[in-house]
Amino acid sequence: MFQKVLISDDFGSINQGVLKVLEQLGLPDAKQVQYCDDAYLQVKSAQKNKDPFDLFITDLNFKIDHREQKYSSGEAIIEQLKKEVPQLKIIVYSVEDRLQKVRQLVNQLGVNAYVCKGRNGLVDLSKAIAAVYEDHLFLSPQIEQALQPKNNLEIDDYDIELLKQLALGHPKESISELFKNNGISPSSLSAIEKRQSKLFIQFSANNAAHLIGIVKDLGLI
Amino acid sequence: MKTNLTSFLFFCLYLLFINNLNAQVSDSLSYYSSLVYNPKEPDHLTKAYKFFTQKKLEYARTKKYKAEVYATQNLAVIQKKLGYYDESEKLNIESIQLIDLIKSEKDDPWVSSSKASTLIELAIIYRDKKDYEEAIKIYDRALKLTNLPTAKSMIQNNKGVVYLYKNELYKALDQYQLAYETAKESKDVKQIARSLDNLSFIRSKLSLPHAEEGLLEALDMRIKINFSYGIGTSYGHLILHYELQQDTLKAISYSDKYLKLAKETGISEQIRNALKLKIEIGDDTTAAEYIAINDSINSANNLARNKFNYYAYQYDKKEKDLKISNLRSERLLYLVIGSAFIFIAVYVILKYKHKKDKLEEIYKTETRISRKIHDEVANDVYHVMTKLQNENKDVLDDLEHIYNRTRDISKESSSIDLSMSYPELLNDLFLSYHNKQVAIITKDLYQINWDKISDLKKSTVYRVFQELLTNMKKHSDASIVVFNFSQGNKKISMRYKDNGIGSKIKKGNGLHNTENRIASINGTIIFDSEEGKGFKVIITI
Repeated sequence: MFQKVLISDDFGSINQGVLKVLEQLGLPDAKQVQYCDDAYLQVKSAQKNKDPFDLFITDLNFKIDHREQKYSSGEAIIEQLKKEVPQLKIIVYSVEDRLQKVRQLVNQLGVNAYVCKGRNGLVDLSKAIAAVYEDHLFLSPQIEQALQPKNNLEIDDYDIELLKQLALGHPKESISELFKNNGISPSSLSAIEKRQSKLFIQFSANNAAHLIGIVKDLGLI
Repeated sequence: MKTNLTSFLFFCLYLLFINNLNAQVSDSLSYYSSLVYNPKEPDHLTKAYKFFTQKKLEYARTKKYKAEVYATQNLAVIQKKLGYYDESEKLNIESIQLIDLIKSEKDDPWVSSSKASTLIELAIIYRDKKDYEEAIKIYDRALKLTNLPTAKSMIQNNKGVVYLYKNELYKALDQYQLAYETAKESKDVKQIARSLDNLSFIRSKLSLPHAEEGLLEALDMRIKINFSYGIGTSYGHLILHYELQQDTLKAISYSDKYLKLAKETGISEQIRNALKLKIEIGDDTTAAEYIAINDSINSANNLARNKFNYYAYQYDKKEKDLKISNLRSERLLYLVIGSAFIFIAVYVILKYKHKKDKLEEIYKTETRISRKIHDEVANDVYHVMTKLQNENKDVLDDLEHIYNRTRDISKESSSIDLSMSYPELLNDLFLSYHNKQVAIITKDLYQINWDKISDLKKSTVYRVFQELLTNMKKHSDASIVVFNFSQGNKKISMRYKDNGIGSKIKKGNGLHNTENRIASINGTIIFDSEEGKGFKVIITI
């Protein structure tokens, strides 16, 4: 398990909650800070003393107060630390749940887990620590679709044509034949089957009849 | 002497042409025209000039081209009479251009005769300016325009005069011969007499036979038709003929007749001519009289010129003043129109900017408040939740509910990052509502050209979708939502449809908001729902 953990959040009580989780995971050696600049100094000095942190858990939003900060947000400090100490694992723990933000942090800054604060926040955090230790990426369930392929919501004219043919009661074989004759591609049976199962998932349909019922109700065909 | 003669003859023909001008020639026109050709007082030419200048402008304005030509021709004659040959030349050329504009009826005799008469005037000017080549060229042009023997003969006579001026006597002889033949065809006694007179006079100069009989025959003809001006001309030629033949007695006899005739008609120029001839044949007794009449003619001419100059100067000045004042009022008009235009433009721009500023301000305020709710309130609530962890489940549930609602409110107006691709931004929005209970499906989201859509419109549409989805999540019980996009020529239409319980449309706060938002970007939004039939919205921007 991780040896040395740094927690950065401007709410001490939240840090307390996190510390409790770490304790349960058998990680007593955790340090907490309330400013990003402090986090940076901690990481750098530990590195210098040959006793580096191996996990950094941080919020994204920090209230701006009287203390002037070089790093005023979680993103800023993450970016800097990932550059200077690439081996340091970082978990974001934040109320921020915009997918775009999540995607940016994971894809561009390379954070190792993204946990949303919430009712199950601490449970998720504990799962995240375990996963990250195993070198797995962890995302809280409410934001895990952030990294899904972009157009998995999208249907197109091909899908509509396929649905129309299915609605007419044609078997997939004859639809394949029809598509082939009309120059609609792809027309192979396997491709049509693949599409159909994609549509089942998209429309949460149990079978072809159910699917047709749904799309008819929605006025798609 | 030749100048007067040809001009006078031309005038006769000219009147003939003018008579063709029909109704457009009114009484006042003929009165002023007579002043042009027979000025009796020093200010007659000036009066006529005033009159025809006004008429010319009037006709130009009313597009009566024929009448305008007539006025222009009169002005040309006035200028020539005053000795302003250049001005006269310009006016004649202008007349020709005007005539060329009239192409209404191809065979309109007025067009060809008018053009011929103007050309003749022009040729006389060139002749008097001693540009003989040009004068002959123009006469040739005029000859082509007419088939009337009278007119032809007159032009040929005039051409002969040019050769006479050039001292090319044989060419003059040929022309006069031609003119005489043509005149005989026309049976116009005046023309026949004129041609014969000219022809015989040249013969006399060249000491050819039949000179005397020709001159006498022409005189006879002129006496018969009682054409006193012509008789005078004949006398003049006879005097010179006998002078050349050294027949002093006959020369003196005709010179007496000439002077008597001239004094009877009272035309001072003829009197001067008669006196001059008397001196030429050696009769000095009339010298003093000649000087007197010469002086009087000169001073009359000068007076006429002075009057004209004075008037022309005054007229020019008035016209200039008028132009300046017109220019001023024109400028003023432009200024007024210009400022009105600028005023309206500024108003529109300011109004647009104000609207834009207002929308931006609203957006900024929303974002700021949302940020505060998100960063401060939600975090604080979570802070409390953490403290209560595992202590009181009911309170925790309530708190979680508050926490979620706070975050939803915050999200509704949080900042929208338009720097990322818009369809992806929308896709993220849809994804955040997409879960095991609700499936969101889009059609052709990526087929729309969003580049031309302004940021304001993009964020507005985003917000509206967000509100529709929040509404859906709260009330619809739907399991599937479809967003169907289609690109029109200029508009984009977006259809929302869910399979929820639907409702009677009642404009709750959320829906009312979407209407306001879409209206602010000049789009349309239509709601359609019935209980049990899902919810449908069509947005067009």
